[in-house]
Amino acid sequence: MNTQNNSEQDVHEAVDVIIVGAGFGGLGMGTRLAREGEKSFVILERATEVGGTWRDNDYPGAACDVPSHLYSYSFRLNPEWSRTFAPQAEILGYLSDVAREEGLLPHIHFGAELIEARWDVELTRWVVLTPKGVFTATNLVTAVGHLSEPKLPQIPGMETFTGDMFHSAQWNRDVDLAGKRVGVVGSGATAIQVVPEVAKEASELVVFQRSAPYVTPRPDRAYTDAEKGMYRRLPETMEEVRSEMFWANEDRYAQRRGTPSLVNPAAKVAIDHLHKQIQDPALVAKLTPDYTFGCKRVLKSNDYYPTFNADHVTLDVGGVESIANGIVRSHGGESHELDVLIFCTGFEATDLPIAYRVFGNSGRSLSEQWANGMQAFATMAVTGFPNMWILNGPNTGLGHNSAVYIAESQIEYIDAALKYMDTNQLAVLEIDGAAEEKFMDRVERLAEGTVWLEGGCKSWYVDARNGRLTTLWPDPAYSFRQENGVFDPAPFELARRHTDAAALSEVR
Amino acid sequence: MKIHPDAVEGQVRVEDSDVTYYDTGTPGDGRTPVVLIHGTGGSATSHFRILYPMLAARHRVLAINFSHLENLTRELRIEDLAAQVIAVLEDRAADTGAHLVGYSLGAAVSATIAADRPELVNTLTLIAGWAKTDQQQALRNSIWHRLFHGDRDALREFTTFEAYGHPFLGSLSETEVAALVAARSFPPGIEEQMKLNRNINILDKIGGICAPTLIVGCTYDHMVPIKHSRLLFGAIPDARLAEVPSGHAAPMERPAQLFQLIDGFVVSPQAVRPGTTLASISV
Ligand SMILES: Cc1cc2nc3c(=O)[nH]c(=O)nc-3n(C[C@H](O)[C@H](O)[C@H](O)COP(=O)(O)OP(=O)(O)OC[C@H]3O[C@@H](n4cnc5c(N)ncnc54)[C@H](O)[C@@H]3O)c2cc1C
Repeated sequence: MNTQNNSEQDVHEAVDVIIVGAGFGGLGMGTRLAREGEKSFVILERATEVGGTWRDNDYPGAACDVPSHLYSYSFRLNPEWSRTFAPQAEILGYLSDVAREEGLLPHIHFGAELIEARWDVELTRWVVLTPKGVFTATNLVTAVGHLSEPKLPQIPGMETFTGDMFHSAQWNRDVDLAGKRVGVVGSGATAIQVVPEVAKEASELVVFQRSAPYVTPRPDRAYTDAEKGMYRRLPETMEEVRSEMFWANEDRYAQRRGTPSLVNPAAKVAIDHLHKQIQDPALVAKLTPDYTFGCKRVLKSNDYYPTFNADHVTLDVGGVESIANGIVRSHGGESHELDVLIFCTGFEATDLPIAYRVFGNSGRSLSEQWANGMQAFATMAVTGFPNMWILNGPNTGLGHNSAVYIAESQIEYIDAALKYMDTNQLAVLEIDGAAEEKFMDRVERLAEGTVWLEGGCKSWYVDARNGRLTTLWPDPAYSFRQENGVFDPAPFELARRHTDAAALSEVR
Repeated sequence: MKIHPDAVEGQVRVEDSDVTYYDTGTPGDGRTPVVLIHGTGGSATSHFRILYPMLAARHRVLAINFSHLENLTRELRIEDLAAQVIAVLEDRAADTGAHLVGYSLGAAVSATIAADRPELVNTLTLIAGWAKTDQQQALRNSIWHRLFHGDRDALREFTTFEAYGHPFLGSLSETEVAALVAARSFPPGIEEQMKLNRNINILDKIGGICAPTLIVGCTYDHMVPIKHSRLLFGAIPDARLAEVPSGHAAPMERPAQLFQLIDGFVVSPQAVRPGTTLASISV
């Protein structure tokens, strides 16, 4: 374990690579560098533990919704997964094991939040300020996540709420929900996991829903000892299962292209699930989505709908309008007196906080450059930000498959880019601006006609500022790896030639 | 329901029957269609319900329904089915040629066309195909005929059992399997096609196929065991081989993987050298 007690002023020895963030992305990148042993690197993590998403989201009922044998590293298959969809603590344990067993802990600086990162044109290095000192490196890999900044709604009178109030990703364990009147705001991926658990404790539960999600059956079960033993002794059987899960998810991508012959049967599965679990027609009406299947994340749960059959659970579809002391009013005009308010309102996904802290070769911040929405070449490289690589940044989210597959594709690409720099003794690699635009045009073309843009819903997949699909990869996952997993130096060389030419003309 | 919003349905007259097709493009639009040929007892919609829209997102797609030849006084021949496809190709894709994709019996038909009418076929994809019926297949075929005339419920179960791979079936719930069984139907013409299946032999033709060819064999196929795909691979000069870990019902079990293989192949047929096997995508 890393026990340095550095202060802000300490300047650490320069390294080849700074990785920011110790979630699936950062730990994956770190493992690659550690295994290769060619490069010096540090991992800067603002928290005191690894795990990212799976450290922060420890709310009751938290689990993944992509099967665990798929939602894990290909280079660290895990025969011990207890269930199809492992609970949060188990995923966190898996990531902690990775950090320890891959020898990453000595590289990680905890409490080292990136406050500011600047590209130093003279030094051709990144200079990163943190509470644990100044770090410098040739390359900067940001792996800060796109679902890591809790987003709270702005509700008039929020500050007057007399009870306990917290976001699902900042669960307050000191608050005992037993016998309390609890409100849950939101009805997305987190809410459907939280609601059944809270209902078990609370004396009264009000769920504030703005838009009803599609919920499909969750084919979850415990793995038997025989299965775990088989996976342990015959690891190739784990790979087969993983590939089955991957392709089954890819099949679902076809539904996202909005073809009625595929969307309608898929939507029917969700609607049948609802009708099977809820009989009260008024409740069914409230829980029936009013947009195209797949426009928002399709959710999986067997116990979400039945929760609303309980007498002490109320579904409020007005959305929260205002708060005054202990009373929460909804747009429907109803008032609820509550002791605890839990926000399952998601994350800041389109306007990433890290962008305000990173400054490129013109001194401009990434957020300024991204004022109209984020974009990156091959989802990783940004013009004006040399030697910077973004993991799980723009256009990397998937509505239908594993984020780890995406991260591993990017790690492969970044690793190849770093090697290319070494082999060709390049100090700087910067993407050509025109290549970046061309890439974005391609993404835009891929997104045309998909349910995310045309499904009639409001979601975090689309940036309200430009109406573009900036968070999602709008194609099958496998094509992400084909298109963005293989480093091609050409568009970077183009940028180099442009700068060389500019420098030359200045001399003349 | 319509197979795809962009698909236009039409018919081509062949002898005294109408052959139905679904085309997302038009002759003269310059786009080479991916042409989907279904297998025994199937149709464009039943076999390519998922694959068709997947491909249509990137390509012009043309799918054909074999027409049942009610007035035939002799046994159905592979050339009869080939003639139906050829008629549609001549009508819809004479200017461009076709990326012909045949599944199961449709693969045997497609291979026949590629051998007999090479000018119509730009590339050839054979999914779960075979060149010569062997005794393992003949035995299954004989059980099929017995049950077809004796016990349709048992036939529904038997064909479900045979069509899907064990990893797929084994992962389903009882209700899901029951739904698959219940959904099996026996459309007009299926018996004639099953008789034809007993006697397929195009071995002497396929060596002459010159189109770049992709063979897709299915690891857990009981109906057309993967050995048959390996034999096709051995016989067709410009062929490369891919394997999909599914049963015979690959278009239902692994549509996205088939899409990935077909799309990659028709976009650059020579990206994988003839005589080599495609590594499956690592996940
Ligand atoms: C509740 C929940 C469930 C999910 N379930 C699934 C699922 O089933 N399948 C799936 O594919 N995806 C799922 N996701 C998406 C998930 O976010 C990704 O799969 C993945 O965990 C992202 O990993 P990451 O490393 O990119 O980001 P994160 O896990 O968010 O890690 C980022 C790390 O960076 C650190 N950090 C941030 N800013 C700074 C800074 N300025 N300086 C230093 N450190 C910083 C954070 O503290 C954090 O540790 C889920 C997300 C949530 C919230």
